[in-house]
Amino acid sequence: MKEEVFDTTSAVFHDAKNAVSELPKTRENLLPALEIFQQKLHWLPEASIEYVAGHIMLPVSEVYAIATGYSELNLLKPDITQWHVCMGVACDLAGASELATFVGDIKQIDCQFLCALAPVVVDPHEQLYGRVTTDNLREWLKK
Amino acid sequence: MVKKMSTLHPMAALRTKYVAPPIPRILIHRGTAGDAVGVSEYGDRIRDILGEKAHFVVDVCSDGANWAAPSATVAQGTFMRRFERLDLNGVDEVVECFLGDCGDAEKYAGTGEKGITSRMGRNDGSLGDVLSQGAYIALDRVLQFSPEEIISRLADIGLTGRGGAHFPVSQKWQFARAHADQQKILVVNAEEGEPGVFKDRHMLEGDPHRLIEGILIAHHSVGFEAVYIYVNGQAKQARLSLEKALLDAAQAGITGGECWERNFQLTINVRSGAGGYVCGEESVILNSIEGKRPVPRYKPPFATDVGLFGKPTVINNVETLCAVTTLFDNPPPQTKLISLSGDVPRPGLYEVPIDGAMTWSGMIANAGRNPQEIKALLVGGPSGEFIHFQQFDDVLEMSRLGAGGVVVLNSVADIQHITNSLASYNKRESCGECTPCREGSERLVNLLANVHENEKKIYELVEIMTESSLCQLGGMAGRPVLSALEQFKQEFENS
Repeated sequence: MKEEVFDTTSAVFHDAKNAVSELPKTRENLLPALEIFQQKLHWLPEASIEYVAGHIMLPVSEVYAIATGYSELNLLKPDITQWHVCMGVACDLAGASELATFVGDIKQIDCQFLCALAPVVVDPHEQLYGRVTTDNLREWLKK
Repeated sequence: MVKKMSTLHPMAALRTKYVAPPIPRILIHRGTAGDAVGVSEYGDRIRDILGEKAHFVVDVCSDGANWAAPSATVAQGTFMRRFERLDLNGVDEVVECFLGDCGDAEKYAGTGEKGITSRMGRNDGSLGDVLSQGAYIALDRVLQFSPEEIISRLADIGLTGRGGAHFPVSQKWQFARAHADQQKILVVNAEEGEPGVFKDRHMLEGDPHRLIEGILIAHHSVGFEAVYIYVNGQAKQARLSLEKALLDAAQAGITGGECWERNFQLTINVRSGAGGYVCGEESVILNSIEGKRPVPRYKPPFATDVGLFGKPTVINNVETLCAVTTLFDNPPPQTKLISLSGDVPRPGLYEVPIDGAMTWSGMIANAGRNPQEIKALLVGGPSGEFIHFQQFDDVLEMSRLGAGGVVVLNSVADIQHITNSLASYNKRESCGECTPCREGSERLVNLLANVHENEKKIYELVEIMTESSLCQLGGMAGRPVLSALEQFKQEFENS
């Protein structure tokens, strides 16, 4: 992950701003506002934080302080090609670490709550796959 | 009292307006579990074969039988037959069964349990379908009772919270109700961030109306100004399914309007969590909904006195409110949803009776494994404990089940490795707000690197964390560690 210059003139950013502007200007809507940006952009560039801060009328520093507390809010642009393998206890027992080491370019991730279908992997679009074998994974990663 | 539009009984009026879908039909078990093993491919194939009759094929959620996925169920009247581990060759058998030849009657799966999961994976999400399967009957019945009668009934039965802490539901409701002059709020905890637990997701995906019904029963009993349902951010299908059900219920006048003798006029908001195990802690949820950092609050004051936006707040788990609904539908024994995974042939979501007879052994055997082949169970994940095989004949007690996450460990499972993983998880997930957890969870991981040299220090540290952490993430982080050391010390010999 790396910091990038974000295009604030893009249509998707404009759409997100419009959606956020519809929310009442109360602090209760801080996380829903961040969620709208994250859903549309997959991360929270500085411009989105500034827009939310302006809308809710909080200091930018405070919005950052809150956003950094939530692990699913991405303050850096994520790698949209990255696959993950679940390392929850059930997946670990079902050979997840072998999947992770056998197929090089895959990151480990905490429990994905699909333990009965272990081992589980997650594609770049957050789709879960259960009972995954090394053969499955090798084939998918080739695509 | 609002004058009703219809002269029909409320349930009859609802069922007239929202009719049951036609049966027989084929249920394709999608949901997060079904989609993760590609069941929609087989659903499409079945629709192709059926051609003009393709509208009898409907997508439903998982019925909890994750081991069977990808699966489809042929529902013919009161009989159902589930076709498990489908492949492209197997779809012909599903179609044949639907068209009339279902083969051996012994293979019928029956009509399912009558408890909290009775409609799960057996309805298409439409109001007509769930109404035909008994939705909102409990609410209709409960409206004849006074709030005092309902709370007293919950107390008599001894219903406790299903999120893990097992606090009596009647007391929580009564504490909030005592603030008669204040507006009160209900927060539904659907965060479910505990590794190894997947019950609330299944409930929301498969039968969200059971939760809505429980919410309305709670509202009738306590009286809320607003409801907030806090759903785990990753549980996207669960949120979609819930939001559809809320919209349907609102349009039908169930949550507001003139459906019942009384107009509930209840606003139900849905909020998504944004990550972190600590976000399942109830005071963290309050901070999160208020737009603050996800850290716990000091207690007292308790949420039932000073909760969301400073108002008296009841915080109930999804399963708890679904259990309330079920309780007024069916008599006890009570049940607990168990998320079962690990080394069993049939892992999945089980509704287990807590009836004084069911044992750990019984639960393992139900999932197709001989308990004698099993070394231990991990119950309750990173806040839980190991159950040694010598305890397998113990009767299941609600208070030992936590949120109901159970991982079955066979003889080759490495208890030391699992213990270290759980400790590392707790360290990563510590929010950092209090010192005992922030520093202690890291220190615990380090001490576990050499258990024999550090054993005394581990016990001392766990005592400090248990006694002085701000919330139960730190307070219970040492529990699996001590449980492992006390029962499986030999597995740490080489550390």
